[in-house]
Amino acid sequence: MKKFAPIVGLMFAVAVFAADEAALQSVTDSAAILKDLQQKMSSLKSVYLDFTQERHLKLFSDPLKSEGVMLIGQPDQIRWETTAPYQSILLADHKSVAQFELTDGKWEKLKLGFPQLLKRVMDQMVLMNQGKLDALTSDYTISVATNNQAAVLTLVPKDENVRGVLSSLAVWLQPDFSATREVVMQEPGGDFTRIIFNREHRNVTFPAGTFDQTKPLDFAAVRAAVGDVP
Amino acid sequence: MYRPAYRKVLDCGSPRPLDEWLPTGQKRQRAGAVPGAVARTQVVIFLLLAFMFSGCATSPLSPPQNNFPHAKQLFPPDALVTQRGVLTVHGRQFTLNGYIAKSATSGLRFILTENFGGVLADILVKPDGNVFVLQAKPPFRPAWIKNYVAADLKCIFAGGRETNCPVQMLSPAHFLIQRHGYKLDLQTVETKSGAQPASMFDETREGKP
Repeated sequence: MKKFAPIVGLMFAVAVFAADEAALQSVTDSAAILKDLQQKMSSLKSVYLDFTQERHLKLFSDPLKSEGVMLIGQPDQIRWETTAPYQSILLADHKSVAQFELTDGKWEKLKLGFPQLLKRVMDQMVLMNQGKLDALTSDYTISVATNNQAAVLTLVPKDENVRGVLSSLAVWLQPDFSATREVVMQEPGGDFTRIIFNREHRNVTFPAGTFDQTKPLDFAAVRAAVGDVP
Repeated sequence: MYRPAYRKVLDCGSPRPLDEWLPTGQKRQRAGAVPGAVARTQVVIFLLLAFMFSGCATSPLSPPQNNFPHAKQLFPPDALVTQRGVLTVHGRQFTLNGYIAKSATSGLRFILTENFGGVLADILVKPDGNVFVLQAKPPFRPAWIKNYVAADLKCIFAGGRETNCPVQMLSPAHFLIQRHGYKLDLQTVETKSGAQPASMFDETREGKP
């Protein structure tokens, strides 16, 4: 669990671009770039991201894949929904958190074991999406590398215990930070998780019920309202 | 009064209030330190789960039942099966993912992950029913993995190898396992037919296909 939660937090940071890593040049003074990134991210009012998550385990020759969407609205609302191969919704706002699982065609609201802890995780995802990258510097050593196709933020945990489960986390962005396209989380043993953001819609208006923690609006209706076409 | 041995599992105890398990500094949210705080949050969840399961790992299983004898036929002889589970312990629910590599000749290899993909357990079940716990991470102790997780696995995927199977098949892709101390609602969400690499079933090659 602890291994991948940080990942989830940072994947909300935004959008990335897969580029030729070999051509990347390290930036000696990353402060200016981080400030620029933070400014751009903080101007976002809402975001709709469609993702594919690949879990690469040495044991399996092919990655274990899942698909879903992440929606962030205001104030501090978040919906993380897995759409395949199973369906699950995590919802949070500034007050509470909820999880729903689709079972035999019916959505069931779970009696979460530790809702306040899950809420904390979700809150932090929102913070990330709001561009609070400076908050990370106390826990991570952040470096930046760029080329003409991408900007890559690499975060290495300062805490030895965290490094025991997460070697590094790389966020691939377009050079102008206009979109995040990929997040890669490396683990000490060589396993890694790759989250690829396929489509992104910024500053969209979500329909009523999108973040409802009692009966969330069906994803198909959200997608239609946002105008997302697979 | 006669009390069968399996009743011992009921003496596992109840969870303590959450705050008792929160390390100093966890009770107040810190706006910064995002991933680090998240990681620590997960550690707390581990501790809580570990506590909930503590004392139960070596308890005998619930009384033998077997109302689920034909499950083996539900899956192709060789396949990779993905399952989604909701584990209920003391009325609290946790979501889990399971990946089962199934071989007609070599056995079963099972990877259990938490909601965000972290591996919690890695089990190999040989064709003769022998179980090798190759990985067990908190909150799951090796004994708990062997006595419960492996038993549930064998009930669904190795029919006949496990006789203690309190499993209800709600549909061909939906199972409910109820033992003393926990309930596991399992759904098969994906089945990919095909032979799995032989190396997956070699207990001497942990995590290395």
